[in-house]
Amino acid sequence: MSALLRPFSNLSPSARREAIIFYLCVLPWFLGFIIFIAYPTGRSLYLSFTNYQIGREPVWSGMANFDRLVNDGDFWQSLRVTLLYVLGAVPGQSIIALGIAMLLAQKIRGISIWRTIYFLPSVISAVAIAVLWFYVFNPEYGLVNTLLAAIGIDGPGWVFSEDWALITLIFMNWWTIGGQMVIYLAGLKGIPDVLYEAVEIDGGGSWAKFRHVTIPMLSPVILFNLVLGFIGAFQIFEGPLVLTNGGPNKATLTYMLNLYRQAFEFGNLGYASALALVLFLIIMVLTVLIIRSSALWVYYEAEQK
Amino acid sequence: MANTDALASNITGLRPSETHKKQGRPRATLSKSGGRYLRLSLSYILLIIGAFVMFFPMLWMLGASLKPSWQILTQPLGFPSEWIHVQAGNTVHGFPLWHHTDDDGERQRVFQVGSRRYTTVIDVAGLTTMYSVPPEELGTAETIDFDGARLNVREWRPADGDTQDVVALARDGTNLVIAPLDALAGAVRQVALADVNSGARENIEVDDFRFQGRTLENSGMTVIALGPESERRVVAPEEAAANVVLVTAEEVSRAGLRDIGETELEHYTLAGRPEDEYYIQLSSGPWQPIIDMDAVRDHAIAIPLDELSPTPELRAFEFAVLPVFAMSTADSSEVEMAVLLQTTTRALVIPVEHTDSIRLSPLGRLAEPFVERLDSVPVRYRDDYEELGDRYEVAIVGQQRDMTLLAPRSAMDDAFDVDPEVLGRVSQPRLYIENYIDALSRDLGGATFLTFFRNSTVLVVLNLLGHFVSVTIVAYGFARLRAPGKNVLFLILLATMMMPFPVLLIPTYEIFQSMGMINTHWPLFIRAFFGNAFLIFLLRQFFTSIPVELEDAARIDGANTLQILWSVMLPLSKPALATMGIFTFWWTWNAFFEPYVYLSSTRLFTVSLGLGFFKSQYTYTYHLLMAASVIAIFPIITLFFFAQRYFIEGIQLSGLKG
Repeated sequence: MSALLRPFSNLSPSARREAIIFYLCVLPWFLGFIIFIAYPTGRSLYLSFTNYQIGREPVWSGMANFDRLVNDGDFWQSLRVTLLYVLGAVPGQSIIALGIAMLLAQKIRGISIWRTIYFLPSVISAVAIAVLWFYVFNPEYGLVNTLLAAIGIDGPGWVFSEDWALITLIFMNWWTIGGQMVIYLAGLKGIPDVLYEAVEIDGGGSWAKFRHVTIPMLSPVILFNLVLGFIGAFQIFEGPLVLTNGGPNKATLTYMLNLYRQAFEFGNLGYASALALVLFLIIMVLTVLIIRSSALWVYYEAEQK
Repeated sequence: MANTDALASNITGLRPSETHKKQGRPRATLSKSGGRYLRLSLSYILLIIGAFVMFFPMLWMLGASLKPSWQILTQPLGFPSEWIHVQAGNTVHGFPLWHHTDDDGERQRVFQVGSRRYTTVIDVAGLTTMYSVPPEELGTAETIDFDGARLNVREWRPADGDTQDVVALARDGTNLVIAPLDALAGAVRQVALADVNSGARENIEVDDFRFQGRTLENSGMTVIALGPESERRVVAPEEAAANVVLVTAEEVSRAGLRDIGETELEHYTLAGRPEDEYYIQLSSGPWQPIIDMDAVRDHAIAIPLDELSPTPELRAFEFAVLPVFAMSTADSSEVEMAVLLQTTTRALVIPVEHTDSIRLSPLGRLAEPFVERLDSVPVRYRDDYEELGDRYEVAIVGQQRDMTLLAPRSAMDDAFDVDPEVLGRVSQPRLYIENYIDALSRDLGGATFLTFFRNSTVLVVLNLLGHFVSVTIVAYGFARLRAPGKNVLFLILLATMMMPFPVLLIPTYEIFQSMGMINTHWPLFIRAFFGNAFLIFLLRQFFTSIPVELEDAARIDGANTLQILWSVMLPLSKPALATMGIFTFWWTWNAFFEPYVYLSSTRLFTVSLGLGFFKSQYTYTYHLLMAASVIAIFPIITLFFFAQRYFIEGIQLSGLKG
């Protein structure tokens, strides 16, 4: 605090007045930050080392929660399910979104109509999508199996099948690419035409343009979408809850679903805090790894200067 | 992160004034080849396929929400339709209509007048080859069509020799007597089960094998009944329905099985009509007297039971029979009253002059009635009773009566029987708007969907208010004012945007619990008054792009910070404020996890939470589930169509900040 105050005393009266107004202005946010972010983060860290049943006081228990976690089948199952989901959903979503954005970035007629259609599923709540998906993927009279039957394919059991339920969830994620598509589209529009012309002059074709202009110029945006998509996918909750309720036989028991059950169905708040901490660490480590690796494949214009 | 100002200036859409638009260079002139057009067509094809995948499920959801429940199961891709009925004579009953296509390809509309069971038999005279084999050598039975009849065929794998298809005819000790399928050609017949059952029993011996057989009356053929049995529907062209009459069940008596058209049916006679005038019975069951609810509300009165005449006379109102007695009025004249209902202490009566609307209805249409108390007498009624295409509000009164629908035999000459599988219901397009009313009025633990709508609306308003008050002020501070530590605070603000919320979940829950806010709406809006990192960033970027000179003028006039914010910045920031409002609406309307954690009473549920709850209650009632979904997403979809650019620009900003 004194480090903050020292330059403060050096200020002129008018600058000091401005500073005070600034602090008053940002006070609501800062209070919110302390109460609802900083304090809970610290508290959560503490709680993960306690035995804390809902309605009782937390009791320090050292590493007990983490010992339990390592031997908890549900934890490993939920981690496995979530990793598979992330691996299936995030790259697929990025590729589809980039593909559509590239199609739309050409001289296409009615761009706003296309954009509306592709963005529409992303506007709807995850619950409504899960409810709709539950019907679309009904094995007997759902849309997908009806269409498959029309071309003579006997569709799988989707949400009722242990093998297919997670895949159904991944498909559901691929349906909501609107946000990423819009970001890619903005990124593509920002690539100067000169760069493409340069490739044409060098005799390069479409692939060369894609490989040597689009991908490098877009790589910061790809990185951003990957990181955000990835953080979001790790926390998936509504889909598996409403679509399959974690089933069949825990085939869609995602990390957050397991965490929610531990906390609010079984009342193990201490153990759930430990789960939250582990999720936080996994996300942090993987995010840092992605961002570190980005030095190898992300191109920033500034580097050239 | 550092050079955020430069990034913000890239977002042309969010500028107060659009200074220039990027001009597309005419690149087509460089490579105007056929390949380009090919690629463009391919792009359109891919876009159309993609758009189909994106859009069709939603269209399908809308379609399903307007379908009747039967169509969900039978016609997943069909347009919402209703079944068509043909009116039974002058009655209120309707028979379902079916399409039938005859051998000449002519299509006609028919209704069911009865059914007839058939079975498969073997003409003993046609039996040639038979074996007695242990059952282990036989596979499981499978029903096939053979020679115009149905047969249960099994695979016979003899210990020595080739596998062949056989039919099991009878037991022979522990063995089974079988005949090869090929040897049965010409011996298999499909005959009416009634004919077989009425045939004389006979013990038959063929090639030393013994069978229980029957000799058929009409053909004199001796047969072994094998099965499987099958049911065929007896149907008649829809015109025949015009002659149907409604009679009481006691007037009808059986007159035996007789030929009719190309088939045969049980015949009936009617009391008071000649013995040789036959009728076909189409349906029989309880019918219920009903009366228009308006007449009951306006004219019926409740009286103590002892005021009833001890010997009321029974009187028929059409087919409904109600007790009638004379009641003296205040001016000592007598009025005839009909008794509609009786409880243990009171009776509901109505003057006979107001009984015009009493009639009978098939009981099935009155299922799940509501109850209204009139003078403390509970009256069961339905407000959506349909009769010949019109809707009425009717009260259920009096005693049920067994009624029968009969068609004169003479109108049934064209009756025939068919395999039910070749019949399809006759339908016509109709949108079942009432699904929406149904979904909205379903009881969900003491609440309805309208409750959820109100809760979500209240929360949207509170969140909007909170964000509007806090975000504008904080964003202004970050955009315009200088102070020590500002950059550190701004970096913290940006960092909190990446914060995974699960870590905060349990302590935040503790905070709200300690304040007694669990199962209230407080946790779902109070934090809006402390700002939101993304919205603060969004508005701060916008404020930064507004020229400072505009503010200076106001400052010289002596305006303070709040006045400048209110009268200079905000009027210039309408697009950014719109984006902020839309995002707030979007997040609040779609929020699920936090309402799910904090709310347990259904009367507090938000729309998203309520939809999840609706799904758990009416999981396979897809038409209602889809109607509820359409209702839940309607506001946000509408907002999206009208304010699309704010959604998209807000998203672009979040993408470009990285």
